[in-house]
Amino acid sequence: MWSSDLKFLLKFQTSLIYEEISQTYMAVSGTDSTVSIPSTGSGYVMQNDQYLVGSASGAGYPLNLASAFTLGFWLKSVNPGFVTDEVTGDPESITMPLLNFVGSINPSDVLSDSVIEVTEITNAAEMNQMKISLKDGAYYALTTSYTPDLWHHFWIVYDGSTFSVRIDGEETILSSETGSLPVSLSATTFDVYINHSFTGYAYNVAKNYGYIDELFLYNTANTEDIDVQRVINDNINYIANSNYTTINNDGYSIYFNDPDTITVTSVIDDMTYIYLGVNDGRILRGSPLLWETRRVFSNSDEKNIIDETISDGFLKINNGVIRL
Amino acid sequence: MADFKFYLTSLEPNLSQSIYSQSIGGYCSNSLLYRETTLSSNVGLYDTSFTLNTPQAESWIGWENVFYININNEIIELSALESGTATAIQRGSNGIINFHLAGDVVRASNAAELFNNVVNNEYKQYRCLAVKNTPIDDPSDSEIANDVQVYLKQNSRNDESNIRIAIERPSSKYLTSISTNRTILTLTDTSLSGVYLDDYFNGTYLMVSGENGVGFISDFDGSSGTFTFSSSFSTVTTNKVYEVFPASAQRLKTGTDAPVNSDYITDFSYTNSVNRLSLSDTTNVSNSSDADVLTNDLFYIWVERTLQKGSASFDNNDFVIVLIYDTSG
Repeated sequence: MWSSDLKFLLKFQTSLIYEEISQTYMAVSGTDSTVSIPSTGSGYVMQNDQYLVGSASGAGYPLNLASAFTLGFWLKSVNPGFVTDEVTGDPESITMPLLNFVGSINPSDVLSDSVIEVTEITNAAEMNQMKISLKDGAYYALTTSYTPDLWHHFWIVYDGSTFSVRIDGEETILSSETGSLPVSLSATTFDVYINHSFTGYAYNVAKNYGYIDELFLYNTANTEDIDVQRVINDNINYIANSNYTTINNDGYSIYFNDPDTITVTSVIDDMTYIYLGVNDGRILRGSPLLWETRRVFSNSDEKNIIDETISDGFLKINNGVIRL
Repeated sequence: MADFKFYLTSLEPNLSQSIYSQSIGGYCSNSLLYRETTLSSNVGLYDTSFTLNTPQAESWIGWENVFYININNEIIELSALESGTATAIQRGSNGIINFHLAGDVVRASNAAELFNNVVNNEYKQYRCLAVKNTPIDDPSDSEIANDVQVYLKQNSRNDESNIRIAIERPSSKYLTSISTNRTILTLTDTSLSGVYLDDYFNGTYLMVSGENGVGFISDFDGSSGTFTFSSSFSTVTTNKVYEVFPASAQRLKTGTDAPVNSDYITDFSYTNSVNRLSLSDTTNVSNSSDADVLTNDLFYIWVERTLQKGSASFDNNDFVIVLIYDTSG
C-alpha cells in the first residue's frame, strides 16, 4: 500500500528533470533554460531566472488527493535577509516560492487551484520558516525556524483532520495557524511548479535560490517514525524501490584511534628474561640485567621526560616511551 | 527483525576477551566490541543534547571515558556523558549525519585498542570480528537474514591508514536440539541421523542447557547423530536441550600474520556500496542458503589495516562497515 500510493517523485539526478511515476519530464521555464544539478548529487539548484513546471505532458499528474497526503523533500535553504517596507520603513520578511501543487478541485475546472503551496519566509533571527497553505489558502501555518545554508529534511503530512510537519525528523510546533483545515482536498490532476510565484515578485517577494532534492508525494498520510527515519537515512530509494522495505541496511561505525597511553598490566621474571604485558596486547621481553642497569643510572634525566604514575604496584607511563 | 552484533574473537570459546588487539580469530567471545545501550528519545539531524537509557547489565560503569558513540552509522563526538545525558561536540564526526529514533542502539566507540602500532614488514596488521545474528527480545524468536553482504561505507579518514576487509564463513552452523542419549564422552541425538555429513561439526563445541561445561567435538558421526568429545562431561543427564555453536574462524599466531586462504574466506577487498562482499563469495558454497545467517548464527569479518611507512599520525582511524541483508524470505 505504501509504495502504490506514491504519486510523484523527483530524484533530480540529471539536468533533465524526470518525474518517475508519470515517466515524463518537467519543463524549464524562465529566461535561463540551463538546469544546474551538481555532480555531487546534491539536488537541483534553484535560480533567479528559472522555474520548473510539470504537467505530465499536458494531462496533469494523476495525484488523486482526496483528503490526505505525505509530502517530503530535502532543502538547503538560503536567507537573503530582511528588506525595508517601502511605505512604513519597517524591516520586513522576504517570501520565497518553493513548491506549488496546482490542481483541478473540480475535474471540469481548468488547472487553477493551489492545493498545496509551500513558501519560505525569512525572519528577524536570520533564520527561515516554512509556510504551508492548503486549498487556496483556506488553511495555512508556519513552521518553527530552521538554520539556512544547511540541508534540512521536511516531512509534511495531512490525514484529513490533522496537519503536521517534521523538520529533520522531529515534529515542529506550528504557529500562525489561520483558517480551517479542509475536510476534503478533492483534487485529481495537478500541475507542479518549483520556484514560481503566481502572484508575481516584489521588494519582499523574491525567487528562491536554495537547493531542493528527493521530492516525493503520497496521496495517503504516513506518520510512522521508521519510515521517516529510513527516508532520511537511507535516501529516496527506500520509497522508490519496494525492495528496500525488506532490505535492511545496518551500519557499524568503528572508531579506533590508537592508544596514546601504554600501561604495563603484568610482569613475569623467569630469571632469564623479564616479560611485560602491556595494555595494547603486546608482550615485551627484556634482559633483567639491562633494565636493572638502566634503572640504576637513569631516573633523574629520564624521569623528567615521561609522565608516569604508580597504579596497583605497577608503573604506568602516561605520556612518553621507554626504549628497551 | 534481525539484530546483528559485533563481538571480539578469542582463542577459547565461551570466554570474555578483554584485550582488543588479541581479537585475531578463533571463537566468538562473550565480549561485544563496544558497550551499548539505547536512545530514550528521538534525535534530529542537528540535535546536540540527548538522553540514553541506562544500560541493563552494567549501569554506567565503564562509560566514564566514552567520548565517541555511534548510532545508525553516525559517529558522534561527546564533550560529556553524565548519568545518561549526552552532549555532543560534533555530530557526524565521520561525515555521516542521520536521524535517530528512541530505542535505537547506541554503541560506545570503545575500540580504541583494536589496533596497535605493531605491524609486519608490509606495514599491515589483522583483526577478526564475529558478527552474530542475536535474538532481539524472545530468545526463541527466529529471524533469518538472507543474502548477507558487507561493504565499507567509509574507509579510514586517516590518509596514512587504509582498511580492507574479508569475510569468513564458519564451516558449520549453529544448532540446537535435544539429546537422546549421553555418556561422559558422547552425546547422541537421533534426530540428526542422516542429516549432516560425518565430521561436519568436528572442531566446534557444544553446551548443554543448565550445565557449565563445554564439550569440544572431536568427532561427529552423521549416521547415528553422535558427538564425541575430547574431554569428559561431569554429568550424563539426557533429554536435555543442547546447543552446538558455529565453527571458529582461523586463529592467527599474531595480529601481524594474514589469515590464510581457505574455502571459507574471501580475498581482502576495499569494497564499496556496489562491490560488496557476500558470504556466497566464499568458494565452498554448496547452496544459496550458505549466504543466509539464522538467529544465533554468525560469520567473521577480517579487517586488514595498512599503514604508510613512517606514519606519524594515528588519529581519525575510523571506518564504517555496512551489512545489507534481506528479511523478506
